[in-house]
This record gives sequence, structure tokens and C-alpha cells, in this order.
Amino acid sequence: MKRRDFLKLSGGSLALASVPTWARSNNPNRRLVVFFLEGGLDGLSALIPKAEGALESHRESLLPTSLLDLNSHWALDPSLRNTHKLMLSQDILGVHATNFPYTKRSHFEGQNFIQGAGKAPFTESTGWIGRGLDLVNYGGRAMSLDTPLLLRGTTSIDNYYPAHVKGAYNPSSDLLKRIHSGLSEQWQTTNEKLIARVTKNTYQSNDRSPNALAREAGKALSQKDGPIAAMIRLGGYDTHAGQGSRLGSKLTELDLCISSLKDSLGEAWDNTTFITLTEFGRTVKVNGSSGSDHGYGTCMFIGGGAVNGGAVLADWPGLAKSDLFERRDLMATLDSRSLCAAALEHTLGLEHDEIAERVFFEPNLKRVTDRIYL
Amino acid sequence: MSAKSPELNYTMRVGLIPRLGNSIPNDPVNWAIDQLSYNKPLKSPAANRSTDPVYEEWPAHLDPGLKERLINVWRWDEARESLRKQHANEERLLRQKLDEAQFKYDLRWFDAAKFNHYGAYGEDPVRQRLGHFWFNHFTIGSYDSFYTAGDFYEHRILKNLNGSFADLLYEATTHYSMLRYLDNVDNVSPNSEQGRHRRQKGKQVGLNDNLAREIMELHSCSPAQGYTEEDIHNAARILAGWGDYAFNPRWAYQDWKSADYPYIRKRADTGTKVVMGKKYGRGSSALKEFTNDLAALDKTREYICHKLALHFISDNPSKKVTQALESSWKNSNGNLLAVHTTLLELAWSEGENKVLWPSHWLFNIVRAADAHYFDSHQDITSWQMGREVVKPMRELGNSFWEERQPNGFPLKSREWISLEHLDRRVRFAQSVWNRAFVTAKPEEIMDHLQVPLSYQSKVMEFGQGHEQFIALTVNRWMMEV
Repeated sequence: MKRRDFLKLSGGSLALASVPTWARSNNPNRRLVVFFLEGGLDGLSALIPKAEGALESHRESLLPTSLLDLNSHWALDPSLRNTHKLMLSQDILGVHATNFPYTKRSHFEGQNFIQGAGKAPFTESTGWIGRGLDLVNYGGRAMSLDTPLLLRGTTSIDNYYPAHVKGAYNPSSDLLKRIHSGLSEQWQTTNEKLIARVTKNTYQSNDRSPNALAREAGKALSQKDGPIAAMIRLGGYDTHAGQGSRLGSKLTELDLCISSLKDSLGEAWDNTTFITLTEFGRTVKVNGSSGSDHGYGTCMFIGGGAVNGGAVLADWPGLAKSDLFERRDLMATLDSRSLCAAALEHTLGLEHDEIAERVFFEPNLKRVTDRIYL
Repeated sequence: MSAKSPELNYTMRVGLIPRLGNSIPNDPVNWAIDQLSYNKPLKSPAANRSTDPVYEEWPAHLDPGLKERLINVWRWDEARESLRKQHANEERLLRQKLDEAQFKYDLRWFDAAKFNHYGAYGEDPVRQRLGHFWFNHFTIGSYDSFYTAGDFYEHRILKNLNGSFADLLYEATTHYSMLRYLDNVDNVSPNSEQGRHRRQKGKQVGLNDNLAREIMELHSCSPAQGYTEEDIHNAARILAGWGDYAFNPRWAYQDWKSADYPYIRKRADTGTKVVMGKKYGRGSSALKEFTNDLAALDKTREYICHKLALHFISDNPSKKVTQALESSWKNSNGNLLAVHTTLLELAWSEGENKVLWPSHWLFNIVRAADAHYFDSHQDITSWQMGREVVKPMRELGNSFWEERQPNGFPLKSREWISLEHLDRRVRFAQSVWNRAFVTAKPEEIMDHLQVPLSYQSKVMEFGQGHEQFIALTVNRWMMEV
């Protein structure tokens, strides 16, 4: 496979030039959803460069027996059936050989860096979406018990994660108001949000599978006064051993989440962008236990009605040993921060330069928005 | 609300509140230090279905030793396979039979119940809190690692709290739960006897560097050490051969060192390995040499002392605190009894605001009300009942018996503050009141906690008992130190 860029699925030809410049808008209905794939997604198994000759010699045992073809160069893992349909209908864009500029292969540094997006891991107490939301003063929602770094900023973030506690009922707003004065300031801020939720009575389902959380996120985001960003965590991507079936079930879960999100958003799908993030890719060569170890470059999916999908965006580095990062990992040739900045630019209606400087602290961050959106 | 007494605050910072009926210590630092040498067995209710339970020692057969547990892992594997064949087309019956078989061989729910009882009834709460810190530092968290998790906590963590960090590191690294969780059971050197054999047969074989990476990144020196991928690769070669899936007594590997230290020579690397400039030879002794070397690194001392300070003293530990811990470490050559003693002294004078882990909050409210909230061993009469044991801590996002990532629970307060976390506190206060056979009156609990009269009258304004209990437990006094 040769080095290539932006490969449309329909023809397989280069389709780089003359994408219309994005007309800036402050459409307040735009939404952003992040699926955070914890553990390090093996990008080469999800979005497979099937024409790459070296693939078999490096990892024959990791290749699925059947593929969902996208074109003569790319295919998806067979678990990604809905994703496949949405790619063919041009709603999802695949991006490959990408990552944040972090090469040390630690889960915890990597996850922190990708969410905090500072100069190094553990330097930021806010996340890049949180800082973006601060600029426009909109709120977000974490679909989890805790509030992940990615969403943290000064703007109001709430959570959604149904409770299963025996012998307890939904707290009443009256009770919460009465305990308010006994709480410290940091909990009072939280209590105000809880009171607001209880008052609205928005707790509907007690299902907290990722699929249900994606559905609830879609419902909430499709409301006019709903949060404008949400994050859903999906764990289990650290496939050191027996990768085949484990990754297959994880990808099925992601695939269902994407489809549930789309369904529950309804028409709001046209105004929504979702992206997948993961801390790193995995080794190109299979390891001793039919799995793969921590690597660098990986793939990302960016979807939504406004996304210029149906393509794989990649400055493909190749899989020959000399093309690999440190002779073992897929090289990342595209800085994922540019893709995240594009999603923020589109969703929040801010200038790229402002996002680059104030959210990613990287004034020279490349702008790729025109390649991602229609 | 005015400040709670420094003595009570200290017991909550480094330990847990004494159960109702026991007094708050007048000399809390010595109360805490004395617990480091506590060695009595746990006594707690054998069943949790009474307002006046009988306290008994935890039964010995529920702590049968690692070898017996590993044989049971094998027995369970065998049983599972045969049941699947036997009931291939009877899905519901198969599920029931599988649950019965696993209940016979897998002690995980009893282990989790004992862990809860240590928290709710233990007379050594400071030792338990240190145990939680180290159990979290050496996180295990896959389904398979929980077959032996109770043994790991009891005999590798609690047992080694007063020795050297080097020993704790080695003991944690070589336990089945860790070897299984971080995939070292799959770490076979390509140049080993088994590696060569499998290659000849065209089978997949090779190193798995998961444990090798985490032992450096998370358990000892941290990435601040600046080691390379090559160092990790060679550490994986040192670790190759450590671990197995189960202990099959019929054809156990003859070169197993023991069930406690499962080293399989025919999977081990036969060459010399260089990690961070130091050479390691072949054989099982290389691992102890390696963990000793890791324990002796400056970065290990800095990293661990910082973590201890973060958890027990402040979200932003001062230099004074970390330097005091580090010099204690240096002077004692990494002896944890010395380091923990220094920590307990510092916590009295240097402690700053911290949000307690929700598990510690729950233990505290249960202790303060003399409540019986957690199932005991006699309550676990089936696999299904067992599942219930872990639910409260899971619900609080703080269960040690759940699948999770190897960096464990976060240490900083901010990570534990969210709308859902607050919602859970309110629900659990209600749940304890409704389900835990609380006979104490709110006034008694408030006296125990030295709640000022002005706030006592406020609590009493809440009409019903469970509301009073919520007011009493979901506040800055109980959630923070």
C-alpha cells in the first residue's frame, strides 16, 4: 500500500483538494459526544488496512476471518456492522495513523494527557472539552459516576449514572435543600446540580450498560436546553491476551453505542459529532499470547450528520519495519488534537486559532476542519 | 457547623471511627501507631440478620491457603467443562449447575465479605486503611484475579505492612492474583524450552510485557525514572516463567517452585538480561534481585512517599511532609513500619482537607451507628447471594472486588466529587438506616461523634429517623477530614 491521503471509499482516488471552507456558525444546537475507549484500541484490528502486505506477516492470528469491506484498501472488523453502514452512507469518517503526541505507552499518563491535553501528562486540572465549554459557557454531562478530566472546567458539568441501592428511594429536593448548609462549598455546588435534576425529574432508566448510556446521552443532547457535550467510557481495550474474541465483543459494544446514539438523537444527529478517543494503539506484531502490547498510532472514528464521512483520512505511514515508530508501532502521522479542535470548532462555533491557543495551548496546531465537515 | 474534635478527625484521616460504644481515643497518634503491630484475628458477626449478633472469628476454612485455592481453580475449570458437555442444551439448568459448582470452589464473595467486616468491625482500622492503600497500589482487578484475592490481601498485603518495601514488592508481584491480572501467566520466553517446543509446533509463543511495564510504572519507580522500552522488554524476560493458570495436582509442573511462588523453569528466559544498566542472570532468583533494585531507587522512594502523603495528608502535600517521609524511608532503608509511623505522626500536625473515599465514609457511618450492614459468611448461601456482597462498594465506585484499571482508585479529593457521588451518599445513608438494624438513636450517635448541640438540634428538626440519619452522615464532618 502506498502513502496516501484522504481516500474516498467510493473511488479510492485521492480527494484532497477543493473541500469547501467551513462557514462559521454559532448554531446553538450543535452537540459533541466522546466515546473514550479505555485500555488502548488496536486500530489495526478495528479499521484494517487490508491491502497492506505486511499485515499478515506481522499479525495473521489477529486478523478476523471475515471483513466488512470499505474499498480495495480498507475494511472494518466484522463486529462493526452499524459503523460499516454509516460509513457507506457517508455519516462516519475513519481516521488512521493518528494519536495525541504521546509516545510513552502508559495507560494512565496517556489517558490523562489525552483528556487534559496540556504540555505533558498530569499538568492540567481541566480537560480540553471543559476548557472549550468554558469559552462559550455551556454545560456538559459525564455518563459516569465520577466526572472525568476531559469535561472538567469551570462550567457546569453534571453526571448521569443510574443508582441501584437497596433500601433507598430517590432523594427529594426538599431533603437535599435541608442538608445543603451542612455541606462544604465543594459539595454545595454539586448539591445545587442534584437539586436541579431532582426537581426536573429527569432520571428515567435504571439501565447503565454503555448502550443505555449512549441512548440516554442522545436523548439529553437532543433537548434544546440539554448539555452540549457528553462523554461515555468504554473499558476493556487493553487486549494483551486472546485479543480476537475480546476485541470483537468490545467493538460490538461500541457499534451498538454508535447506533443507539444515532437513534436516540433523532434529527439532532445532523447537528451532532461523535468521536472515539483512546490512549494509544498497539504493537503491530502479535505478542506471545495472541494479543498485542501497548503501542502508538491508532485509528479514530468521527461521525454525525454534518461529518463528511464515507472515507478514511490518513497520511498512511506503511507497516514495513522501517516505517514503524521505534520499529514496533504504527506511526502516528496526524495529530489527533487537530481532529478534536475541529470537532470543537464545529460544535462551539469558535475560531480554530482561539481553540488552538486557549484549549490546546498549541498556537501552531494544524487546522483540518474542512476535511472533516461537509 | 463548627469543627469536629481534632481527635475524631484524626481517627477518620488515618483510620475509621471507633464503633459506637467505644470511645474516641484521647491520644490518637499512639492509638494509631499501636495498631501497626496489631495481630489479633478479626471477630465479627457470623450472620448479619440480627440486632444482637454473636461475634466470632472468621472461619479458618475460608482462608485455606494459596495452594488449596489454586487446586480449586483447576477443579472448577474441570467441573465447568464437564457441566457444559453434560447440559449442553439446557441453558437454565446449566447456569444453575455452574453457579453451584463455582460456589463450591471459588471463595471470592467470602473474601469480599471479610474485607467489608474488617472495615466495619475491625479493631485495627489504621492497619486496614494502610492495607487499603497498598491493596490499591498493587491493584488487581480482572475476574480471574479474584479467585485468590482474599489470600493476596491477607497474606501478601496485610502480612507485609511492617517489613521492607522491597519484600512487599516481591510478595505482591509473585502472587497468583497479580501474575494472572497482569497477564504474566502468558509470559513465555521464546528461547525457553516451552517456547522452542511451541514454535516447532507452529504455535504462538512469546513475551507478554504487561506486568513488567506496570511493576516499574505503577508499583515502583514510575515513568519519572526514565526507563526505556528495552528495559521493559528485558524486565519481561526476567518475569517470563512466573505464573500459571491453575494448580493441577495430577500433572503439576515438576519445576514449580511452590504453589506460593509459581515459577516454571521451562518457560523462563535462558539468557542474561540488562535492565537500567544492571545485569540479571537466569533462574528464579533474578526476580527478587530485580525487585530489590527497583525498591532501592530514589524515584521509587519519591513516588511512594508522595502517594502516601496524597492519600492520607493532603491533595497538595508540602515539601516538609514528603521530605519527612523520604528521610524516614532513607534512614530505615525502606522499612514500612518506620515510614508508616512517620506518616501517622505527620497526619496529626500536617493534615489538610481531604474528601474521604466513599468506602471509608460508609464504614464510618456503619461504625458510628453500631449498624450491621454487611453480609457475613453465614449469609452467603449461594453464588447468587454472594454477588450481593460487593454491590454496595460497587455502587459507590470504590469496590476492591470489581474489574478495574491497574492504576487503582484515584487519591485526589476532586476525583470523588460529583453529582452522582452525592446522590449515592444520600441513598446509602438511607439504606443503612433502613436495612442495617440500627437500634441507636440519632442523639446517641451524635454524642459519640461529639456533634455540637447547636447542630444536634438542627438534625432533630428533620422529621423521620432516616432523614435525621442522612443529615447526620451526609455533611462535611463525615465526608471530609
